Amino acid sequence: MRKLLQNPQALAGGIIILFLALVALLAPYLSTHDPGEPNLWAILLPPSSGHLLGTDDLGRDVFSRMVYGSRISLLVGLIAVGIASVIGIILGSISGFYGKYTDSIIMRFVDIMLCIPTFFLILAVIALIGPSIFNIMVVIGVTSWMGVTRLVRAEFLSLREREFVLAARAAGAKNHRLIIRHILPHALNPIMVAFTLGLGGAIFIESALSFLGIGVQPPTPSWGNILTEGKDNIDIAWWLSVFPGLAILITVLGFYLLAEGIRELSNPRLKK
Amino acid sequence: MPVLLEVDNLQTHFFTPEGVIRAVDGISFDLSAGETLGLVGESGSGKTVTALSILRLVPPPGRIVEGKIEFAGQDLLKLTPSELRKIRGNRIAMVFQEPMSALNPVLTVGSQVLESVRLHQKVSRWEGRDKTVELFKLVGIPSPEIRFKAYPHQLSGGMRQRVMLAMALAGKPDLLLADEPTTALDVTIQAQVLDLLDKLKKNLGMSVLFITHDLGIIAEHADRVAICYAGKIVELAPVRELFARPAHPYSQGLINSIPKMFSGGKDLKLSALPGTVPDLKNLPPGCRFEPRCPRALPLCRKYDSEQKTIRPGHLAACINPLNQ
Amino acid sequence: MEHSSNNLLDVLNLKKYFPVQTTFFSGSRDLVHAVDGVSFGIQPGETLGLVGESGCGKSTLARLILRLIEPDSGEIRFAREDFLGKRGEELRRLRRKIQIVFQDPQSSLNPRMKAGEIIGEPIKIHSLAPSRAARKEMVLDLFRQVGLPPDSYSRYPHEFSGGQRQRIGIARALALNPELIVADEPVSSLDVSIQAQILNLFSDLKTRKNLTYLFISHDLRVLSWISDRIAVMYLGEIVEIASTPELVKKPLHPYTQALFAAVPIPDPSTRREKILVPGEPPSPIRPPSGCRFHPRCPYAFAPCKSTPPPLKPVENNRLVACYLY
Repeated sequence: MRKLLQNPQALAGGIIILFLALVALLAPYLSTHDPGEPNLWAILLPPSSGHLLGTDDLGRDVFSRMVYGSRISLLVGLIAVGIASVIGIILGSISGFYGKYTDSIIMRFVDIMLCIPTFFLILAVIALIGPSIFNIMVVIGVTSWMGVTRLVRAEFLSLREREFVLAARAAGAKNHRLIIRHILPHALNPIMVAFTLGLGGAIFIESALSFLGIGVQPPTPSWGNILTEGKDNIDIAWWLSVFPGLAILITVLGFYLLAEGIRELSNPRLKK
Repeated sequence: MPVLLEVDNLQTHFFTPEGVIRAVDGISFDLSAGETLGLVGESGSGKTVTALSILRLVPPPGRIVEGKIEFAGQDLLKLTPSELRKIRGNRIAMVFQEPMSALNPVLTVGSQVLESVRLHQKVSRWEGRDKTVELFKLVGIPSPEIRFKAYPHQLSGGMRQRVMLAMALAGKPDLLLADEPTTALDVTIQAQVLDLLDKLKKNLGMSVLFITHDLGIIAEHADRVAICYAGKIVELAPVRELFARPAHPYSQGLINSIPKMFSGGKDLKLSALPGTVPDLKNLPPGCRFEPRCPRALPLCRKYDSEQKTIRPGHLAACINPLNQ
Repeated sequence: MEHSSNNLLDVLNLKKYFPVQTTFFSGSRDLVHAVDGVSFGIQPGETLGLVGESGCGKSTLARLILRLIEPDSGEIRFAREDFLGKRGEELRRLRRKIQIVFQDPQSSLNPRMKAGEIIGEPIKIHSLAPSRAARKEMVLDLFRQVGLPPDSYSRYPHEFSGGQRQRIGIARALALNPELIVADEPVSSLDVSIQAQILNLFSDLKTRKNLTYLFISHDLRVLSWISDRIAVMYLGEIVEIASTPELVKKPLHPYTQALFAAVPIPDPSTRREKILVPGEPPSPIRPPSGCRFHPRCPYAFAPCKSTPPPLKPVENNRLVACYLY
């Protein structure tokens, strides 16, 4: 952990994410207005001391909406990647540990999933079952576990031949013990990298879906749908598009930096 | 025989965030023309760093902090980089333990040896090619014309080590630094390569600094031995003398800890040295071997013995030596 | 060597071929003949040394005997029980009696577990201790037996020296009170002075705990010190088995002779003219026909090239696979 703090990339990423988490957590205290309350006397006001980031075409305070939107983004990211990671770790472990036919079947399934353009699959499924925060989290989760599966499988393939695993097997350890106690802990670092990278990706997908109007539904604010509303007025109210865009960019960047940092630390060749 | 290489009070330290590692801490020896000196020690004794220091190839954070390395009359530590390059590979060559990591995997071994031939001798590509094939023959590579086009991974460990030798010999060196050149090889292949080294040395009149942890190899192939322990040479003697009458308790401990094959003494215990090598960042104040020494005196804890002559040509750094 | 034998371990005609990675479309599959029809027995209380060069299949053999990999054919009998036929609980019960010590203690110890947990794990798996405290007591006793200080309990593998790590590996193997220990090159990665300490430990433990060893090494000096008998392996086959004094005095198989000739002897007064075998071991994917050593053998004659010589008894119970005898 201390090493993580000494790594400039991880530190920068960590600070960004910590800041976002605080914003999401303290949303009710940070927001200056009710994010859902329209104000017909304050339509499309530019940023000022009254409205830090201006107002939208219904006169709602953009700053407050973005603060609340961060909750949605982070929540969707965490749950979706959580689902993907659980699926990926389970399938990857099974695939890498048991090998042979089990491995072939799971890996072919992964290949098939990877052939399908995920984003259009998500679009189709959401169109079918209807957009809601819950549906979005689940759909993003069950369409983005393939990377984690491959990663965990690769780790397991090399770890299961390691001598300390063989030694535990010779001592009579059962498979679940070998997996949980001896192999999985050594695969955690790359899983963490994938998890962190995945978070950035999931937030991005959620924003894209909301932007297309089939993500988080108004009036619930999310960075994606603030951006959508902004695009209609982009020629007269730049702040509606720029700030949510920046927020998405910085968040994805933060997770990316943190992931890079963890990756560097877990790479033995870069250690001294 | 004239002295070819003289190392005097060499000190190479590594400056790490955790402290200064005194990998080589005052090593002195000399090497005559045509002689094989064995440098023996366990891991961390400083034998490899000594060889790297001679070529001034110590990787950072290591630095030669003191000493003199005189090779054929010039102090290597005072040479400019371009003067040094004329010596490296040309007059002093080195072979390493793991030839696979010393060879470029994407170039054929022939082209790599050819490169060093052309680096050291002013010849055309075609002449260089012939010379390379000749070198391959010299180091006993069968069907050299075919092997010329082979990539390192297509050769066995023994063949790769022969390629490394060919590369080292390209500059017709006066001194060969051989750093555990056979440790990664199987015994029957090791015997072949050692035999080859002996022949090459005799025919080309090279001096060899042979670094190894195996006293058996030293006994069979070296003229003199230097025993290293924790960055110092504790004993330096002609081979027969060292095995017959070791003076330093560490040398004796090393000799005795090798299982004797023909003694047939089945139930005898091996006489093992107790303990492990000291931490090079945190050396004991007196003799470095004192904590493990069966002959240690109270004095040894305070004073580190200088090297002194036990018999002509036989030096040992010990207050209480054996076989005096 | 049949069922009537009082051997602790009997290995009969054991075979293991590994497929070489082939592409999906290529029809032919190359096989590495790692262990190719190996038979031998070990008596209770005996140390059988197994010597061979890299790639001769000695590590594969060790893993087969522990059933860490499954053989293609052959039999393994432990105390006259058919070990290969065992499944589930029965397998776990029998496995307790055969343990392994690996070559590299660095990679054979889980770096994220403390020494006490590593040694205590087998005890926990087989519920040999009635309580946590009793388990700790057993682990501390094992520390004593292998010469580790009691404060090792809560230290991680990287905090130990190489020799101490190998002591942890040995303690783990002892934790289940095994009868047979398979030691796969247990001293090859250690410095000479530490190697002697560990060899002494193996020898002490054997007498104290009445153990049987299959001791695998490439170093004949080590094996001739520790073993009662030595088996010599070349390209997946055993070419000679004999008692240590006899093998050292008079190696019969030309390959055994070559191995002995190649061992560097730490005694300059006996410098000798060496007879070296030429060439290198051929690929175990397409081993030579007939006797596998014939392309390098100085004595090879016509039959050696066509029919493999059987491992047959010659004088004093020794076995050799060579047409010269």
